[in-house]
Amino acid sequence: MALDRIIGGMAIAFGAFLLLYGIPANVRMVSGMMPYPALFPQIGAWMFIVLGAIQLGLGRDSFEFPGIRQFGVFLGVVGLTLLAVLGLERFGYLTVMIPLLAALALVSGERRWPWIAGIALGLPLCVWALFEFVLQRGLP
Amino acid sequence: MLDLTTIIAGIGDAFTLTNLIYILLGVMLGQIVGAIPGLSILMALAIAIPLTYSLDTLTAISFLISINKGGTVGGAVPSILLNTPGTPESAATALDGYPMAKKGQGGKAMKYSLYYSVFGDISSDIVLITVSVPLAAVALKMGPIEITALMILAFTVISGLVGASLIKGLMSVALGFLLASVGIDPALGSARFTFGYIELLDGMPLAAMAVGMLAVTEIFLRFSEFATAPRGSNLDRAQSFEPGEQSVTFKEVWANRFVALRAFAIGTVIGAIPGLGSTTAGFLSYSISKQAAKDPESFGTGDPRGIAASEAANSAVVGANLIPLLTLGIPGNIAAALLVSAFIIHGVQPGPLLFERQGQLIYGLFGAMLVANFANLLVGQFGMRFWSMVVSAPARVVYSGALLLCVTGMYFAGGGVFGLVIMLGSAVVGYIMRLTGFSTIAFIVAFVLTPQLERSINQTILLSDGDPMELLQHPIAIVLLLASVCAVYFLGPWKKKDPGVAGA
Repeated sequence: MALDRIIGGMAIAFGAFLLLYGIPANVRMVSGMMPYPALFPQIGAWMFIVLGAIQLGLGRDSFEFPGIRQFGVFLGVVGLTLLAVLGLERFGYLTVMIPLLAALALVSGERRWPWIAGIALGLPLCVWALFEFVLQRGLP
Repeated sequence: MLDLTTIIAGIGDAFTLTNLIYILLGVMLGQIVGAIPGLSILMALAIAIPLTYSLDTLTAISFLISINKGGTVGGAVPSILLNTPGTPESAATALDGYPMAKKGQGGKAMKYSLYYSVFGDISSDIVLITVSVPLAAVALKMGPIEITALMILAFTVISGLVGASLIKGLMSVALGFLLASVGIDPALGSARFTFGYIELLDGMPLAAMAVGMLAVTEIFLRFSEFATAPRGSNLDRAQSFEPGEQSVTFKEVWANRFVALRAFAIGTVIGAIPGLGSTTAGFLSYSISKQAAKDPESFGTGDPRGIAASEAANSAVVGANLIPLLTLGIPGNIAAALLVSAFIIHGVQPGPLLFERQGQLIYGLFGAMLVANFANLLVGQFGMRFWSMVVSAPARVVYSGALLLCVTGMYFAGGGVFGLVIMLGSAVVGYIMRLTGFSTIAFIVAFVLTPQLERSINQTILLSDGDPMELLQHPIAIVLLLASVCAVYFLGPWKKKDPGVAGA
């Protein structure tokens, strides 16, 4: 089955989920009043259903997925950054950013230690100095 | 209506020292970012928006527009020297710029690109200044029914012109509607999709989403490409300058005046149409100029007319794409959508009322745009030689620095860790959308316009009392809706599209 058709099916399912559960559970539902708060989200949900149905009918493969390794690296980089973000206020800006950049340099294939040290130490220090001293915005 | 005092005061505002410094900085930053292959102007704009929070409105918008203008000039540098466009809009410049560089005339090609780029930019700014006030006056006569119809047309055209298909573009619009529904609803003031988070009562933070979807997605994608790239792959080195062969005389520039004029006209028209962008303008102008030439075979071999056709057109888009934004409140492309977010951050709502309520600001903006063009010329004149060294900056350092700026900037601008999490979530959504051919442009434009559209739909329902026959009383709305139907027919999935146009 063409991937675009799968997307069409998923769009229909998403629209139906919104209409049957997502919107009633998260938007105040009122009857006998126009316009009502759920009107606009319902327009969006119906668009998903109608467009998904068209996509299901017309769908053809119009894209290719990258290799599993590239996809894995992407998710890994997102995960590393998320960890750094969540630890930002607890551990401090430099404490978090220096290891993050060192890890990203290693993940991206950099093996020259002077370069890794330059990226991991130099860049966070420069940005920290930019915000602290030039823009006068205190970082955690 | 605007009086002369407002206009003069506005233009005077553009000439404050702070403004001039930020315009110069913006142009320099734009040219540098444009010169680095892979770093887009959009990324620079997205990163710069949080940095403008502490600036006053005019300075902030002038700074961002200067980055945009500088980027179109800087993007030509790697196109000419490396045959690798620094920005997509400069791709057509490489067709003749790179052959000139191979002949040892890289400096000459860059100067041609600078002059024609500044010409296109200034000319389209003049068009913007001339037509926007009367257009805004016309737009003010439109009621909610016409505005709703106009937005439906804008979404249809944008969805059809960018991305893989009209259907996917409209799905992106639907996603934009849903995410923009988060927060307080305008009908009853009740919470929608907030899931108990107080931070979401104000809605999804536009800046965090835009930075995540545009800049962070690109950065993460590059990191994953570096990790999987074969060892030893390297950037080409920039061509060296050979003294004595690099200058351009006025006569040489003047010789291509008709090509540049046609390119400016094409760029201005393309820029004024929502959804089309600089890349389309550059290639369209190049191909028309080639077809119109008596010696088309010389295009592609280092002909300055090729550079004039591409650069004047892609730069003319920058000013022209502010026409729908300032007169109708509709951002024609992502750069304009990012400018909307900057306007909103500073408490200004773009649209026809802007001229009445913020006339001084708008004329200040026009003044700043003209100053930025001359700054572009000045900085480019002296800086091109240095930017040619920037093109070989190590990509890992560049992207690491960009990620740091995104995280740090959004920490302040997006409400701390919450904004950063939204930014990362948007980066993942942006990645999936990019993989599957969904248009991030259509999504962001829909997200930006949804509050206004929802307001218009609500007003339409109240005014018409829910009676669809009321539409018959509004001929302009009928024409706009018919145009939307035509757009669906001509841009729909049953029509084959040129993939080169996508993503403009």
